[in-house]
Amino acid sequence: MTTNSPPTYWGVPRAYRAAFGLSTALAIWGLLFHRFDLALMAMPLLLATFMSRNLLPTDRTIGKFVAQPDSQTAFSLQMPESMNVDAKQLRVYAQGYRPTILVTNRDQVDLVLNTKRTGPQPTFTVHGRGIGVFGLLVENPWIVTADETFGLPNSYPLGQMPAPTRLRGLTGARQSRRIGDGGDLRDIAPMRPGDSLRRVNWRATGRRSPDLTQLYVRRTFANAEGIAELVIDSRDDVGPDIETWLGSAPLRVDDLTSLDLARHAAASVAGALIGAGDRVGLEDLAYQKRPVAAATGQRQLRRIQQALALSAPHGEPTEVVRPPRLPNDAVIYLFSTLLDDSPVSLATGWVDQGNPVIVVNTLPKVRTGRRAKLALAWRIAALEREQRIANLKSRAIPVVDWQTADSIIPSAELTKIARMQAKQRGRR
Amino acid sequence: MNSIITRFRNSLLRLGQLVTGSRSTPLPELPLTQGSALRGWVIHLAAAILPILLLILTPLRTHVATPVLVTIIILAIAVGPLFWFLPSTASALIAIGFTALFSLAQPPSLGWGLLFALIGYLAFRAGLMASQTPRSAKVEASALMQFGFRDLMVMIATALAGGIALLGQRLTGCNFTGASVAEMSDVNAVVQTCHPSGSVFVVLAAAAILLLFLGLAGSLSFRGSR
Repeated sequence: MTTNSPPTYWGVPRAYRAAFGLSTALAIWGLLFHRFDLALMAMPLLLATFMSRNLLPTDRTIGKFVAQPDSQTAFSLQMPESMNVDAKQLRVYAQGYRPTILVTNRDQVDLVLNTKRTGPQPTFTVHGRGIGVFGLLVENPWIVTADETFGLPNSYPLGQMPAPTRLRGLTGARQSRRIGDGGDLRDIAPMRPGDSLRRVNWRATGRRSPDLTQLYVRRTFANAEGIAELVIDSRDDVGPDIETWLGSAPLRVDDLTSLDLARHAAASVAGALIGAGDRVGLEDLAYQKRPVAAATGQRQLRRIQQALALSAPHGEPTEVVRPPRLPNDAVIYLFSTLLDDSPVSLATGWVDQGNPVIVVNTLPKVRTGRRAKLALAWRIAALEREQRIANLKSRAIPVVDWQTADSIIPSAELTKIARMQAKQRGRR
Repeated sequence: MNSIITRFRNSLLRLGQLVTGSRSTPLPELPLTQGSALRGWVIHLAAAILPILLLILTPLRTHVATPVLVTIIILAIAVGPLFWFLPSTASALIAIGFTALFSLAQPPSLGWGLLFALIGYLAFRAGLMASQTPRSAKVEASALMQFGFRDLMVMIATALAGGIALLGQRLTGCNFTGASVAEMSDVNAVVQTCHPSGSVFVVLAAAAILLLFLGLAGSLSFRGSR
């Protein structure tokens, strides 16, 4: 029998030698002792081993990823066409998916990652190998990895937002209580040095001072802008499945984690406030070295979205959190899971300083599974958490659940808080 | 051995989780396949069943005593789980070896030999595929057809060789032992005259078919049906 040696990167499984040995022995026995039935039993195995050694693969089947146009999460795994390769075995790994093993004879496999997650995330890793003729030659495995993808958080439209109580500057989209160059009428007053002649209200002057001894001017409210600071608590990133919290079980691809919710919530609030003309800044409790300074405009919104996508837990969550330096006149939105006491002490500290604080609860709806120990642990943690929320509410700090049973955007709740704040401001 | 214990333990764990309902929701699977696909466990099942079938069929060709037959069948079924937990070609090769040894004690029969050859080969191929493919794997129908095309050629060649041998046996009345078929099968039958060239003719015809097939297969160097 002709035996060609296979290329070095193709291995011969033990089954080949066993099948060849048995079939040869049977064939020799059958021919020597005139037992054609035994020779017949050996024949298919002999044929298979003979053909597998004569139809050797020519090349390796190492694939490469090609990104599909207009998509960050769709790739094509292209493998070169090689002779005498019956199939390729691919073991595809993707975050949030079960490892999938595929035996195919296609040269191109399309892979799409249908993820809802945000931030940088790995896409696909494929361990592959070619299977030669009759499966009696197997290629050494190769590994290819696709590029990472980067999911930006969405900015969902929100209604009326709680605004800062103190405004600053003489320009902006909000109306201050000070006299200045604004649009809304404040009062009619006698003209004083420094008043522009264009502000003279001739009708009021004619009525109040017919002899024109005193001119009257129209005074308006000044424009101003508010400052909002978004504080994202990215010290922990937990999913809805409590079994994944220790990191021993993988997160499902279709589950949003607390950090994903926090990113979406912060991006939405930033979009709404920037749309209203306010200055918005961003602080990350886990990584306070690079805050985004407060500014306004669409570029600032994109800057915030980028910073939000990059926010991630750094090591173990710290118990003591240094309060970030925030402007005194800013409204503070704190996005947190409230799984420890730090956000509560931060929020109460800011309220004591005079900052209005809105806490956005970003913990997804927790699934405890059926494991009794985990369910009990979660019950205790949930009770502690409820206590924290009650403490916050007792200090008149509103707590908004971002993911509720009805909707993922608490637009109505934020509008309610905004109206309540406006009413309180009116009373003062 | 460790592999068997690990697999057995994992299976028990999964079963326990299934019974107690503590199994968490499985992760979704990537949509990768095009067209129809077969699950790997089907191949594993075939790899477990076919050697058992061969082991059960082997004693059936003879008139063995019922207790022996029952013992063999029970033993064959008893080793089934082993073939399931540890899929390999070893099960098929052991079954083929057992069949060959058992056949040695019996008069030659080309019909049974052909049947055993085909089942043995299928068992070997299923064992080989099962050892390379996990149970959760998806095997695309097109890839299976590619494998199947080659297997079909091998089985056709075997069947042709067996068929020619049978035909030659029928025409010449000779077995390969040189004795007449009638003489071997029925001692009371009329003894036919057997020309020694008869067996030579059958061997040569089978060899010609084989060579033709091998030449065809070697020259094709095909990639199969795509």
